[in-house]
Formats: sequence, structure tokens, C-alpha cells
Amino acid sequence: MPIGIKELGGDVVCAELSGRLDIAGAEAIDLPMNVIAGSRRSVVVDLAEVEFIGSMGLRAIVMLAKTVQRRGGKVVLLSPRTEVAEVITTSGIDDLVPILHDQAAAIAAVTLG
Amino acid sequence: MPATADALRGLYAWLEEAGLAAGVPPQILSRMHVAAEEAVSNAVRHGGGAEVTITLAMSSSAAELIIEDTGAPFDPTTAPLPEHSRDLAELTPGGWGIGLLRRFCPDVRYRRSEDTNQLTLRYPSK
Repeated sequence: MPIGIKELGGDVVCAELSGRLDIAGAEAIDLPMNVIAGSRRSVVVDLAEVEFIGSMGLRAIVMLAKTVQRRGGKVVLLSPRTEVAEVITTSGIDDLVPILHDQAAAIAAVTLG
Repeated sequence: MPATADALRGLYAWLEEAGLAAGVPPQILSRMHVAAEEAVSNAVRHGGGAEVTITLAMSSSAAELIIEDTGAPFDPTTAPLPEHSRDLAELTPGGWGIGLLRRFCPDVRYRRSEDTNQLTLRYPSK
């Protein structure tokens, strides 16, 4: 399973994604991402171990962020590799779901006031 | 490869194997992966169940990935880039493929010959 769930304290959860978020990878994370989306409001998506992301992986992230935002929460992306970051910025998603490279800053960004 | 999502499932492994065998440099292969996933997705989506054929060719001047399908004519080199909402609540996921294809391949060529869409993703060696 290319996803691990880690509690970061203060109700912040970290979804640690890994490997290839192609069509198969996106399917594998679909259910756990839905569970997070429906139950948490402060979500850090750690992309450091993601080697590849395509449209289907982007879709999984956007669906999570849309649901969490609708429920009054926040999602940020943490530490994508250069090429993964390039896919995200080319698609304009970083304007809506911010990319941060520091875990403390990511926790602060999703902590609800 | 049949034009189903199964074609996409096997794409990465196929490209890795074919790329290594053909001697495609890793940094080109990595960018080719991104462009290929989007190009094949398009071919599957517009192909309407028709066969999708993928060929990798390496010459001294370039690596070329050729994707052919017998679906309706579709030219991703001239198709307009979809507008994306600036508001997450309004954003409909999807429509990123054409932008990614053009960004991750420096030279995309489209040709319609008879009933076939032929898309060439060309990566010059130099």
C-alpha cells in the first residue's frame, strides 16, 4: 500500500504517500484517502517518497483537498521531488493546495485557529 | 496493447524495460514517463475501444515514443488547454493531460494517417 498514516499531534494527520501515483497507485490510495477526507480537517500530504505522479494521482490529491476544505479544514503538500513538483505546478494545483518543504511549516499551515 | 485502463497499468513497467533495453538516458525516460502516461490516457479516452500501439525507438539523435490509436481524430498539439478554476471548491479534477504532455516533452508531433492517430514524443539526445 503506497500510503502510511502518521499522527503529527494537535489533530494534524500526515498521509505519507510513496512510489508511483499512476493509475494503479491512485487506485491503491483511493480508500484510505477517502477515509482521511471524511474524518480529518488538518491534513499534511507527504510526497517526499513519491517517484512519479500522473493525472490520476493529482485527482486523488485534489479530491481529498476539496472534501477537507468543504468540511472546513486545510490540506498542504510536503516536500515533493523536483519532477513531482513540476507536475503539480504545471497543473496549477499548487495555487489551491500549497506546497511546503518544511514539516513544522506544514503543520502550522493546516492547524485550525 | 488493448485500449483499456489495463494498457495504462502496464505502461510504466513496459517503458522502464523498453527504455533500459534501448539505452534511453534515465533523465529522458523519467520525463517520457510523465508525457507517455498522459498521451496514452488520451488515446484510450478518445480511442473508443480501439487498439493502442506504443513503440519506443532510440537513434543517435533522439529517443522517440510513438503512440498510435484508431480512434476519432484528436490532435493534442493544437487542442486548447482547458481553463482551470482558481477556487478549489469549484475545481473539477482532470483536464491536466495536455498541459503535462506539452511540458514534459520538448517535441510533440501529431499525424493523422488514414484512420490512425499517430503521436510522436521526441526527446533529442543533445
